[in-house]
Amino acid sequence: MAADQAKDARQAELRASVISELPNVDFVLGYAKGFDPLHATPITVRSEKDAARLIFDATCVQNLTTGLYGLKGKRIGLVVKGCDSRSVVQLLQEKLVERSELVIFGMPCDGVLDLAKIRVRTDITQVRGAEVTGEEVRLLLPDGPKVLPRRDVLADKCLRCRYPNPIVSDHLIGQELTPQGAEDTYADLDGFEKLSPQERFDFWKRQMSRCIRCYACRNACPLCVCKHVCLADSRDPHWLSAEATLQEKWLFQVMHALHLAGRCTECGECQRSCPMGIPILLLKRKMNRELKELFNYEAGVDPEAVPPLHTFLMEEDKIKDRGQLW
Amino acid sequence: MVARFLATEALADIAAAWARDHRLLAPVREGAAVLYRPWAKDMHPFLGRPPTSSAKEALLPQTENLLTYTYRKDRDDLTRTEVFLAEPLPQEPTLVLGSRPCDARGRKLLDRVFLERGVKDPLYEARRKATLFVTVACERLENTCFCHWTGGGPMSEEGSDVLLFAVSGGFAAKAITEAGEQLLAPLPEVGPQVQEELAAKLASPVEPGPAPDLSKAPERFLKLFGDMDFWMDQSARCLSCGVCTYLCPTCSCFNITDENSGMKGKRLRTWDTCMSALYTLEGSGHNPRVSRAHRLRNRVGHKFCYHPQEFPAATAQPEFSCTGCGRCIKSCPVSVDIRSIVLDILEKGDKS
Repeated sequence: MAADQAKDARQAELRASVISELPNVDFVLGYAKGFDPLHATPITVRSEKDAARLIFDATCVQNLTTGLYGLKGKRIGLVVKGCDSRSVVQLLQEKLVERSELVIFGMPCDGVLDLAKIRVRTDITQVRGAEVTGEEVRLLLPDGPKVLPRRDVLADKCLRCRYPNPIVSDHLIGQELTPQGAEDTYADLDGFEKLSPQERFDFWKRQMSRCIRCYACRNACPLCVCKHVCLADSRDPHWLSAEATLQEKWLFQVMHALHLAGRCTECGECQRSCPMGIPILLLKRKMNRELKELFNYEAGVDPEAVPPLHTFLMEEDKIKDRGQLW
Repeated sequence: MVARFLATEALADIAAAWARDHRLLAPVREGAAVLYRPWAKDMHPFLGRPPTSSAKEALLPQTENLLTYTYRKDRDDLTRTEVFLAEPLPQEPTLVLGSRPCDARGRKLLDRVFLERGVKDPLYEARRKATLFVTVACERLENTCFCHWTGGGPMSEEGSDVLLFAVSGGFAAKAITEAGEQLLAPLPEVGPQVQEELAAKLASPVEPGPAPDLSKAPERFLKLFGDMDFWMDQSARCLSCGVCTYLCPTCSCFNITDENSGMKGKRLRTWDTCMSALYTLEGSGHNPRVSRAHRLRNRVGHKFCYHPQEFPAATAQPEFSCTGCGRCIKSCPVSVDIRSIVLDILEKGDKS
């Protein structure tokens, strides 16, 4: 099929491109097949043999810029989707990574799968095969094939994606795509925001009661760069107790959201990584909506821009109380 | 012994009856997860798939109070302070409903750590003695399941007090221990039709397929112990989060901290995770397990080398501190697969 051929050609181009850069980098971070047809897993590529394992398709969900800050000083090759490239831009803006230390293999991407959405539609614990076409996701299950409409099981961020093509890259692999998504109106938050504060808090209490404090959300976040001086781990000052109470769990999520205000590019890795399926991206979207309305700012889009909370104006256009205080 | 019949519609009633004498933990659906929760009225136990978290929390809670303390200053001599200690309350009898054979086998492996190292952990021991497992036998192996690699099986009885087999209309319940028999006493015996169905099930259990020979895993792991390139490559994708260790039915590492609040406080025991950068971080700031590579090596080594070395098995197949439940694979955000790490150890440890 034509789609298959295009995919194979793109994978071949990626592998060749990675091999051509191997002499110039310590290693390349890319994707390989995971333990079943719906899971890809990140790999480090150091040799041509490793490069032969590289894939790129709708199962390549992880954002490989996570942990990039910790690799400062090394020269790293990196396979990025459009959305992932926004994390790179944000890290560059904050001077947390050096552009000269990165070799970016940009992958125009028309969407990745949200396994949580697939799981509510069918049992994939024994999936034997998966094929993604323009319109469908065709699964091979033990009791036969199952076809799902592709749009139903794409990640939310893909449905509103305006940056299918990487914003920064050194090697653009395959054809650029035409952006389909419209301006983000954050309409999905409207229903939630209509609830009373008590109702919202009750919602979060229910959700957070599942949290096991594994900190996958934090560790999967490309912009969580405090490492083990994180407030969640600090004993002095002792912000959080070791008790697994709702209060500790919730305080961490609030801090996480606040620390990411104006920085979060909504890659969604926090929510995707949560083993308990807690919808924590909602908190970050809420912060971003506020940032958008106040400062008309979107994180990780312009490498030259200064994030609004990294600077200040004596007179902010939309913050009026300052004049009154004076 | 004839099995008892537990009709689907009688499940909530018998659970409620058990909950009168026990702290009953039953799996329920919450969002996308299936979690063990303390019994509550109108609860709907969900036995349809293995819970997201393991049943470990029944024996080793995520946090437990080791003691509470209160300081009191002597008003006449302020250099003198008295400290009063209070021990935690005794353990309630607990019943875990809807565990899986891999969960139940975890009991034995936790016992090794907390009861069989010369010193018994009194809190664990009390809880262990007071905890029963009503386990659901597995009908199928998920892509992440590998219980048969580590000595278990989808119908393994090990560690369970009752084993439930899905049959038409409900479950055939088989008592494994005397305590299990008492739990099942209120239930009717199975009729001839269900008896036949059960016999057929036991005669042709789900076939897990071939398992690799892991008997050389401990020695080959040691051969690769110093090969940091190997461990760097295995761990490059690891996020250092606690998903694998917290969901694991056998991971037993814990931390102890004092949580002060003014003149009083509690001493807590909390799950620890060797994936964390804080694990084994010493007071000096030095950490012998300084990188993700060192820490992932510790997790794999603990399960497939140090445990079998410390607790040698009587059989040719070593006892691993892994029950093959696959939770660490299934819930890992970056799909780290401990099976493939062990297979790589077997292959590469042979060459080096």
